[in-house]
Amino acid sequence: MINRDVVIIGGGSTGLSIGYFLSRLGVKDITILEKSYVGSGSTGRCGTGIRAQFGDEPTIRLMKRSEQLWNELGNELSFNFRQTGYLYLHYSEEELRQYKEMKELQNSLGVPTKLLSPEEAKDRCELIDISNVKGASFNPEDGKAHPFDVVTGFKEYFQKDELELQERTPVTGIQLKNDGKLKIINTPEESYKTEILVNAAGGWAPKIGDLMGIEIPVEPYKHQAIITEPFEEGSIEPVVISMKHENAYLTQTERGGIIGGIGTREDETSTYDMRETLEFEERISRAFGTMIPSLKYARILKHWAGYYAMSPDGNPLLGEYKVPGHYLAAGFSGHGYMMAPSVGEALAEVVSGGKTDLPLDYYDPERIDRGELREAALQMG
Amino acid sequence: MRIDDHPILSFPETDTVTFTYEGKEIAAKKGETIAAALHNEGIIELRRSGDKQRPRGLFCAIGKCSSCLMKVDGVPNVRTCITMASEGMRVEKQNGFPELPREVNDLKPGSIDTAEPDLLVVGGGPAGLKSGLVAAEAGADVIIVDENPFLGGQLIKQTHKFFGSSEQEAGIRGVDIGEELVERVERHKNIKSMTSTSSVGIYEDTVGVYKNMSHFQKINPRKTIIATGATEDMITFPNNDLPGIYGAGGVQTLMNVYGVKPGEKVVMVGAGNVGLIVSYQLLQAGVDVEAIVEIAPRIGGYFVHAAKLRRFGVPILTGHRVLEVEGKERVEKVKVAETNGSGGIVQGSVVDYEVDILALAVGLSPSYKLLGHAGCELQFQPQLGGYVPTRNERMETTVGGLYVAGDAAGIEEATSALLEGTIAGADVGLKIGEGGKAEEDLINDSQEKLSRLRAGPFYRDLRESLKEVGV
Repeated sequence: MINRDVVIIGGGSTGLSIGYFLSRLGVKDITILEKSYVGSGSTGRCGTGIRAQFGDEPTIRLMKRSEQLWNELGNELSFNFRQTGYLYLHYSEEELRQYKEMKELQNSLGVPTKLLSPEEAKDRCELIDISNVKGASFNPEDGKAHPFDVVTGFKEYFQKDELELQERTPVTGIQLKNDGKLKIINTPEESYKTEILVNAAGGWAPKIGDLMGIEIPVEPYKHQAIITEPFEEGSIEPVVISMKHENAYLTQTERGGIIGGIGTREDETSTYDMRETLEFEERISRAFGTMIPSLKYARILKHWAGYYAMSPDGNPLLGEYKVPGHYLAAGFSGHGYMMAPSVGEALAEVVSGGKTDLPLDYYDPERIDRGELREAALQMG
Repeated sequence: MRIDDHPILSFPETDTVTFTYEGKEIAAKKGETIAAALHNEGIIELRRSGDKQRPRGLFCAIGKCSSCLMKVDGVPNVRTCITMASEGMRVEKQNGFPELPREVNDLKPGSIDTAEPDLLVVGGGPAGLKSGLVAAEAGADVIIVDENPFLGGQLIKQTHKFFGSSEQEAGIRGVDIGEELVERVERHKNIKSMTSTSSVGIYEDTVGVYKNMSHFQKINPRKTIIATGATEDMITFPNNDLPGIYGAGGVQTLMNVYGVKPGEKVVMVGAGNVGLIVSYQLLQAGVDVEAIVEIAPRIGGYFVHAAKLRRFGVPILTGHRVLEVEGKERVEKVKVAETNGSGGIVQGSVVDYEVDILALAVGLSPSYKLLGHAGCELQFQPQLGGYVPTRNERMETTVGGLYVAGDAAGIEEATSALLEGTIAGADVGLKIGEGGKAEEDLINDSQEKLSRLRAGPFYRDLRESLKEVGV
């Protein structure tokens, strides 16, 4: 039995970031448990995008801070946070009006979003078909980072700092003692005793809840993505968004492929199934080919599925939940990767008994049980 | 350069089509691929690699690797080894990662056809064709797809006579077996074959195939047989990506299918049957075989093949390996040395061969990717060439209704591919309720022949591996 100050379950971007910021605060007696390898869940399957263009104040603030931290982490952990901007294409006056309002809110919180004419949008990415585009929103501070470089950066930091990160180590049981204040976490090889348990298991967070006998209001929804064969660097610099074309997002990775996805259908239900579908390839081909006609010639190299781990109101669940010393960092509803730095910083501060400037009350998981649902954060893909 | 005098094959005159390469007019024979036509003109550097801008040429010649990608009529990354040259085509070299095409001609998201055959066979080589024929004979309606421009798989380039313990095809040349199979398939009213058609994935009940950029088809078969064959292996040494380094099968395709002489002088790596047989075929095509280099202490192939080469004075250097290849834009020199048995080389044993081709016959790996995509259980079995699916003795995988046959099930030879194809096709015939005693007999008979083929101490390891995958 190993005693720890903190045990984190989940070696994705969220769990790794919490561990990293704990260590920066001097809390080094920690263990991260990952059932497969780092980034093997939703992190490595994500669309790589990072943006502060949201429609509500708490999320904009969270993401504004996150983008600052993405920059710092990039330098510290040797990966590229490429601030190529997010380019939202608008195809109607209605959409323009709605995004103008959002832009003003974003500007008031220090996010430098601009409205662009169709021609200015084309300057950002000349392959876009602007014949039906009425305008665009663009925040130059948004961008993208390669998930595998990110998790590798964290992992190397943990190795250097001699923090315990256990990959291929599933949690097989959790016993609660002293009214839950003490938790004994079992894995096939070893058991851990801790007062503070952080559940950062993404789509699998409810399964960790099951082991403690509590219900966690997170449901995994299958979300698919593709990457094409590699093309010349600079083909599609920004992350290009079209809500009109099935909430599509796409951009070029550092390796040259065009990565992206589209929204889940409204009739889809929660599932742990991860099989990709041909129907998705048809829909994404039409959406991408209409936005950027050149992409009709791009072959899909890989196609995979991951989860959007949905909370009931589409906002994260951050904070202590149901069992004393059990912290949730889950239910990101498709935004976990981009939020990981600021969530990691805030959770580390709270867990270690400090304070955070970020609006964690807004994300208090108990809100769900109190019936105080928030307005859903702006979602695409 | 064209081969005009060949002891076995004849390459009849055909119509000519003219296309442009970097603005220069190139004359191709009708029915010839872009890569073959360019080789005939001595153009062997087809592109520059993405990251380091290194020259790259043809390697596998059957659409399995990505060495020959070029820009054709503005579309990047076209596999020129399986794309026919046609009149007026515009072919350009790719330098690094290609740009996305700026001018988009009239490519509309086309309508998507669907088909619902009793059986879909992916791969038109010996295993696929045979399985399709047997199932069609039992009454199944069959679609066979293959991404090459011809049916017949690797049989269409096997100019040697088959032998071994199988009474069935012994003494017949692969090309002749292939020709007869293709003819029977093309004549059969229950079989529709689609060449130049790639299968991109197996999704739940649907297999997606595309014929070209604007024609996509969804096939919902009752049963599927995967007979996708194998990919040639590569080994590591400095400059192993230079144009002029080919898979032995790639060389065979150039000379035996298209009648194009791959070069003047060759070093062959590998003295297994493939290395020995292709070396002999190179001699027949008028290419000097300077040496056969084999890292193992003894020759892996049959004695008769080796003896034939020795009669022509070709040295077979066992216990030797390629150190590196030198050349600016293409192969110019191959450095070979004797191994000392503990990872190093014998001092003073380095020999330079000034050749323009290095052919690699260093093994094959089953093309298992569609099987993996479909969710079949795969096992790594080095004796069978790599990842292969678990299956029962009638070649059905762990995914119900999905069969495997031929090299995709494990690297063996054409004869076993034909027999496995027969078994899978006959079982499909039975399962769709059309077959009967004839099919049961075929299965029993083929299983017997397979065990005879795999008998003897030479195949002991193979038999052990096959047992593990379920046969």
